[in-house]
Amino acid sequence: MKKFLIINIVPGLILLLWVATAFGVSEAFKDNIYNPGQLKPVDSTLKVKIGEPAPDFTLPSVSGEKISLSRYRGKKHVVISFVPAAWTPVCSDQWPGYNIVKEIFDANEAVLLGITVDNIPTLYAWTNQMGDLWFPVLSDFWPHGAVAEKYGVLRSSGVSERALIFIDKNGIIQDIQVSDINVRPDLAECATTLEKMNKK
Amino acid sequence: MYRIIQSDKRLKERVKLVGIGVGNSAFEVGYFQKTYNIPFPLFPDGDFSIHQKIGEVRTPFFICIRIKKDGSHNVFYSKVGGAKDADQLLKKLLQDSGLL
Repeated sequence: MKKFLIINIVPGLILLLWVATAFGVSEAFKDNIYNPGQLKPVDSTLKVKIGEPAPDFTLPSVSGEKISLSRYRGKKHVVISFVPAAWTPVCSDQWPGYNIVKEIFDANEAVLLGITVDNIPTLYAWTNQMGDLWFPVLSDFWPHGAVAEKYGVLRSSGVSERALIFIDKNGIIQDIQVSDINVRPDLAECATTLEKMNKK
Repeated sequence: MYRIIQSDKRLKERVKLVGIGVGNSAFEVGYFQKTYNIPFPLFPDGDFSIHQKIGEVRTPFFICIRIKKDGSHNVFYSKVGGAKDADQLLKKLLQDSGLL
């Protein structure tokens, strides 16, 4: 659908245009973002299904803590956000975006776990550049991509897909969204899925 | 900056501020506007088409346009960076525009 930007044009009007967000093109990330170009949208085969228990895992986090999926059982819904790589444009937009909708996660008794196959120092430097993230950032570096592989979201290049896995408090997968790696998923769908999962 | 403009009767009639959410959907822009209580219009640019037309600038970026009496326009300010001092930046923009 075509969008129109309509401004009431009045002679003598001064128009101030503030162009913002999109961390991947922000001044803060200037010269530090690697653009991998257009990639094959999806390059893996899922090994998990909706309605099945989510495979448990334990991964190191940037904060120093080791975090297991099972620690949330009975307490919180979990959304796993697999993103392909630190210091790339779409990933650098996606995670800061979750800061804006933290309230939606809280309202639906959910937490977010961010996972990439990058090592901890890389994730530390990258997430530092973004400012504070409210959710744990986990490294699936070694064994390389083992958790992504378990879920069936490890690409042939060794990075993960851009995937969101929605897991309820009972540890059961309620939704799986593997999106085009080149495109940031709209937060609207994440919000809708969270609300649907919490209502069940 | 918006509040300063709105509190001055002369500026309010002559100066308009809009925001462009580069890479953001209508939902995201709406939610951002509600969460941070942004009082001026925000426009989504989910497919980056506006961003491309502007020149794929880095963000945050300010563009200031004077609409002339004959309906033509000129861009008198176009720069990357936020407003560390809103008063100072607004004053400079208004001076550059010829309004002050």
